[in-house]
Amino acid sequence: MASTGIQARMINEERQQRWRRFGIYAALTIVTIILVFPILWMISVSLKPTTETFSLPPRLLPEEFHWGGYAKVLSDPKFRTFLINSYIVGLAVTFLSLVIGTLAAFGFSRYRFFGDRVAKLFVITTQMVPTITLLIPYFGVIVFLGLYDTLWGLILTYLTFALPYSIVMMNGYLDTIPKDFDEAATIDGCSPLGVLVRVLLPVAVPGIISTAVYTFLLAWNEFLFALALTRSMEMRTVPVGISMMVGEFGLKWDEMMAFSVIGSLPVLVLFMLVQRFVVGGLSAGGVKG
Amino acid sequence: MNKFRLSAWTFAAATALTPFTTQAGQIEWLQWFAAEDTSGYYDQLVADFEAAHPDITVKLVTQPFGKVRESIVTDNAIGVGSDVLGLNMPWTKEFLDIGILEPLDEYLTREGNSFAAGDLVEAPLGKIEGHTWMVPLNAFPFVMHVNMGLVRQAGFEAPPTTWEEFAEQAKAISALEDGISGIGMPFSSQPPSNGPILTFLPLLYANGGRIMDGSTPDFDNPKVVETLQLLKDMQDEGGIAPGAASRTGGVDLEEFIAGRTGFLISPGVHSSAITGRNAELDYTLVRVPSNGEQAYRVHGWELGISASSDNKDDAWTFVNYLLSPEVNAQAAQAANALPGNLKALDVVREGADPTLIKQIDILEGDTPVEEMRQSPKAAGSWAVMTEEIQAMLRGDKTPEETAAAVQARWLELAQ
Amino acid sequence: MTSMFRHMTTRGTPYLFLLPGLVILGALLSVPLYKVVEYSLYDNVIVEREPTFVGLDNYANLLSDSGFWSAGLNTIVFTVGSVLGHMVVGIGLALLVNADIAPRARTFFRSMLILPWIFTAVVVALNWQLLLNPFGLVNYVLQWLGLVSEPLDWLGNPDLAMWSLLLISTWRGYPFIMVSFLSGLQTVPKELYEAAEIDGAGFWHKFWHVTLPQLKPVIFGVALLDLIWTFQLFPLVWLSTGGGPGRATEVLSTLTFRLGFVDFQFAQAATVAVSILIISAAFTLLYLRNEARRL
Repeated sequence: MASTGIQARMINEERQQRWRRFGIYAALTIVTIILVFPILWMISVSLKPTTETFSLPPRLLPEEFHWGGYAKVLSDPKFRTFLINSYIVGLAVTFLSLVIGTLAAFGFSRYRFFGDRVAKLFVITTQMVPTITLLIPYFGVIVFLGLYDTLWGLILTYLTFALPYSIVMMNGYLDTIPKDFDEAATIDGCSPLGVLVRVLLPVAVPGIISTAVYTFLLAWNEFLFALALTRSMEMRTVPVGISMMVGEFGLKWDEMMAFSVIGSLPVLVLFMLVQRFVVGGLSAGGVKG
Repeated sequence: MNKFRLSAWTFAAATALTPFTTQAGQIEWLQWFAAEDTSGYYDQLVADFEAAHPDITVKLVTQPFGKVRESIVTDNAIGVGSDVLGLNMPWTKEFLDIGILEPLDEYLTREGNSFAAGDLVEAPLGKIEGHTWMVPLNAFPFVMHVNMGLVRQAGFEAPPTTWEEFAEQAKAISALEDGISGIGMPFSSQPPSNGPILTFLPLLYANGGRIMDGSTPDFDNPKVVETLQLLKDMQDEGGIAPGAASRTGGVDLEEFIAGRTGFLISPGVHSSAITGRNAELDYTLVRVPSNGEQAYRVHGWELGISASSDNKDDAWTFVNYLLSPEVNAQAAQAANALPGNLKALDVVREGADPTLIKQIDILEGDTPVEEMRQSPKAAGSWAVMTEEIQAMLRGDKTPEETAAAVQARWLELAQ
Repeated sequence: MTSMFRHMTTRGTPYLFLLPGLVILGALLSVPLYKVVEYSLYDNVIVEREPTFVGLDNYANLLSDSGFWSAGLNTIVFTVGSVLGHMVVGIGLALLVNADIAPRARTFFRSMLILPWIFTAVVVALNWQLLLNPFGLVNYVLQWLGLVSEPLDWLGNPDLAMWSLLLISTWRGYPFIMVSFLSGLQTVPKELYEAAEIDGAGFWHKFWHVTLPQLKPVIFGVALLDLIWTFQLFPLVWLSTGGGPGRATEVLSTLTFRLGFVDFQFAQAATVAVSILIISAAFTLLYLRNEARRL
């Protein structure tokens, strides 16, 4: 009697579990459709001649697929340059801000030292002034350094925008890792840098990934400085290229959306790929304890 | 380059270090024209010029239209401004107050110019503070584009020529079916937030009104109130497309092309986009409906020389090249516009389509007006106009109150 | 902080770790930051060759300007609304995606949900303008569902514009919170959940008593930065509404831009910027005090 009762409860629990999972899938599907809907509309605009975009009633599916926007964007070498520049800048900024940011975050997370609060306040303060007002004096500094109209100028610029985030966030992630970890390693004879690289970083992989995603997208999306600090077509990035399609006499909706979609696909793929490492971080995290 | 004491050390060093302004024989041309063009015409133009002038190289610096005004000011502040500047007339007073522009009077009287100053479209040359600051690369008169299909459907034979006909037809077209309207009014606050200078000013000029007295704002006058009243009445009768306060110029154009509005007041240069993108549209182009006056708002692409350029003579050689009748005719054709040098008009007239011929008639017969160029705060002024007209169309203000409010805010802004 | 840990610390070590970051930030940003503060004490900077020193006059003028106060109020509404929206949607979705579902499905949903973040602001703003147009898809769907009888002018009606802007801002900003929170979730030791489950804890109990306390440093960091950024968010607001209709959605950042690049009053623009700096610094000090208490 007792054993059948347990069995029944287990079956019941399993059923409950299955329903719960179904509920989660249903909720995720509905929410995703709603949230991704504007993107579907963008894709739809990219596949329609502009007259159809503005016809009534609005339609999500084009009457006939119009590839003109894609053809134009793919055939013009200018757009390829914009894409390559954006990726170079994005990846360089991501790499540099991770390395430099993690080092600083380690300092903040694992040490108390004279001036730590002031240093941290300074780091965050750099984020507090609207970038548009910084534009002109900052432009002066970049010209002074001879970095005007170079990708290095953009990389350094975005590095200054991304570093405070990298530092604060990596600091946050490192703080979630118990300090006994480092102490154990230190007793085993690890140097501080060794502690960071061998002990903390493997556990902090998810945090590193999300910081990387943020940093890359910051560089990827930025427009005001990208425009002001470059002037040759060879040095321009995707957002500047897109803004060129907003003309004085009309807007190339199909090309603009087509270019946005094409440019974003590799970003999406990249994001899907790095998710593996988030899972990797999970299993590495499992080692602790 | 000891420009501002405040920033002297940075900027002085900066200008010394940058190669852009110091190389002889190299000039930069900042413009947005190449971004509007799809045929690669401007690269060809520069190549042709360099072939004819082997000692000068021209670097095209292309900016998106919406950012050109800011770029010119920012570049100038840092001392890396381009030598030849693509300009819009409304920026004249603003830019010369900052000291960006070089007076062109002396250049215009030089021997050996490829054109006669008297042949140029006059509006941009008009003196402000005693000098000429811009020359016209080309010109676009403001016109009214008409969807004849909708006009006929609403029971009219011909496009409107007077304000009464205009209001009547707009109302009738709006009544045809849901989603179709007489005319769109792009009075959104989104940048550039300049709807009133696109639609309101052309109507005002066709009413014989003005908004400036020299460089002093003069907005609360009876002509302005009449024109505001026209918009208000049309709005109340439903002649104007819903959502004027969020309608951008771009959307206004697209809805006309898609056949959703009967009329569109905008530069004539739009005709090629309209016919190119919707060949089925029963399309024509007319004068902006008049209330007694044959005056039109003239717009165009202007050229100027930067006051801080190190190569002003080479810059002028290039500008001079662009204004010669042959090159100017090509440039006008490439932009589907009318030439800035009227000597090029005959070349443009040959093989021009009927819509362009109509624009030539307007250009040759009517009075051109461009007032924003005298305004010390042009961009701020039209944003104010936009906000106050939004309030009027919403029903929060009468036309008189609107005119008074704009005037008061303009005076404050001009201080 | 145990005494054993302090042992391994030689005095210079932390400074070495901080050095590269601080040098880059200091070299590139300290001069511009200083300049902005300096500009605010002068009149006619940038446009005049010899700007005049006016002390705190710009600040006095600003404080007596009703436009500044209404923009300030809008900024508070916009910031609080956006950050709340980001947090609620972002954390909610992070929990949903992190639930026990097939790994492939998880990757798929995560990737789809990050999409609003990977397009540049111009495109986001223009796309929403299309969608929210009186004849756009949003009104069409709402009318079809019978929720509204007349098309609404979402971005042109002063009573609706701020709500529309909050919608756009939430849509644009939640992926950042979602991604940060998701990676935070991976660092929570599984044993803590197991222990809670043995005690019979339900979903909410685990969320309040395990997840949130564990992720406090991450949440605080993210919230602070989101607050500071949203407080001065510019491109999305400027391109979506331009501060309008009227000045219904004018925030401090769009006011700064208007003063600087529309009216060329760079000194006044710098003054607004410094006021943003002061308010943000106050938030940050609060945060740092909080953090010090936590450690």
